[in-house]
Amino acid sequence: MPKPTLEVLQGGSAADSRAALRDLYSKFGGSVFGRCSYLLKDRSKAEDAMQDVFAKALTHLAEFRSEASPLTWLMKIATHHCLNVLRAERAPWHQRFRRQEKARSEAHGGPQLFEDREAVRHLLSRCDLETQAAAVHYFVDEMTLEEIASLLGRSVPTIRKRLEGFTRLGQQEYGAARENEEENRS
Amino acid sequence: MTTEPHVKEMALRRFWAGELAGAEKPAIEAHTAACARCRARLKEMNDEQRRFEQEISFDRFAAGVERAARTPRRVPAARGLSPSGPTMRWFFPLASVAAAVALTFTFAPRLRDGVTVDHALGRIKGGSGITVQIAPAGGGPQRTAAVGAFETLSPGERIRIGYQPGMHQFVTALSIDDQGEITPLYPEAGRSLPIGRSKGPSATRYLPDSVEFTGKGSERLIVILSDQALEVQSVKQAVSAAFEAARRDLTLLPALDLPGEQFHRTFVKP
Repeated sequence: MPKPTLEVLQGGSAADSRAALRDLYSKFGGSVFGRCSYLLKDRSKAEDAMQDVFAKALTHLAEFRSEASPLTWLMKIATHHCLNVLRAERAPWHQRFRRQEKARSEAHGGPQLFEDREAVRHLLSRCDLETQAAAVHYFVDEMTLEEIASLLGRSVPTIRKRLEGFTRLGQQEYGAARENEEENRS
Repeated sequence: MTTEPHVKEMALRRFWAGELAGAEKPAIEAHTAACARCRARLKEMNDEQRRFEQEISFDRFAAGVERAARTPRRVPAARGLSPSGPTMRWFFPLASVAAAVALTFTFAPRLRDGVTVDHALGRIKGGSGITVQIAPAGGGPQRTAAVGAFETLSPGERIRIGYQPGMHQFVTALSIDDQGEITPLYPEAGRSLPIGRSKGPSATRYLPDSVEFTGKGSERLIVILSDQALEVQSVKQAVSAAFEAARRDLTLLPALDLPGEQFHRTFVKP
């Protein structure tokens, strides 16, 4: 009688892979899952996306380990992946657009930071993919133009241009929302 | 109190993750020691990680990542999609209800918008295997059952069993719960279902109906792809023998003494 076989996980050294996963899980799991949840607004989809992001790290372990900042690399991959998911699904979340604050505020931390992040998220659907990624890294991760340019492989002027367009859009939306509110009041 | 600018989000995250070295690290240490707001943000990062670990165990995380590494999901390019995107629905006639397991007939929720079946499954081309999709009650996004880890089901969630036969010619599916109750699913009696050859060996076929596990505790789904038809009664006996050999511990269930390839998924019922 032939010996039955059970499904096994494939890959290099299982012990090495497990140890790497344990490290990824405890150092970066919360941050990456948080980014995916923030963008996708769905725990199940966020978990799928997070798995895909870490799978990429696992399958490019040498490259990943050589990164100056593995966290920044992971957040870039997570952001890009989730923005692609949103695009592909043409999710209607942007229709629920409700601006609450200006896209960028001097203050940070606490409720204000949350509102800004929500405003940024709501605006994303109106932009191209590169502007979306730049906006998330700028407004949410609070990275500098230089850091974003390096991360996305673009020049600083290009990133600045993208963010200026994003900010203009935010101002237009904010103005429109305020006009609507005033009309409703009157 | 401190009048220095607050630490930027990414820098603080890198500090929290232990990535920073050189002058940056002591500078942030000094700042956070004096700045209540940045300390609070560090605490939020701690809490975020703690909530993540509570929600997703390491075993579940590892199984999901390893699965994704082996069979990456493909996110379709947005430009190629029609505005509505292709939609698939499941609809099957009423199936009989087996002990402890309810086979439901329903419009199951659609697969992820714009994702073809093959993409959603991310199967291994040319190989045999199974893919178990989980659909929530009342629609919504589906997920794929974890390999090698417990998959926790929410109330009303149903599963749909897909398989890639490879060169095998017959399929049999059944489940066993942690009390040893065995429920033949496909077929419910008789001999294994023959696999049609209208599709290629690596194409995914779905067994009819979606399945809802009822009751409490855990349930192990076993799918057997074989080259010869198996008697359902014999398969039940093999499962029962394996369960006893595992001292009635579902987590220790060994391979069944049966020909063919076996694929297991374990669910925790709501």
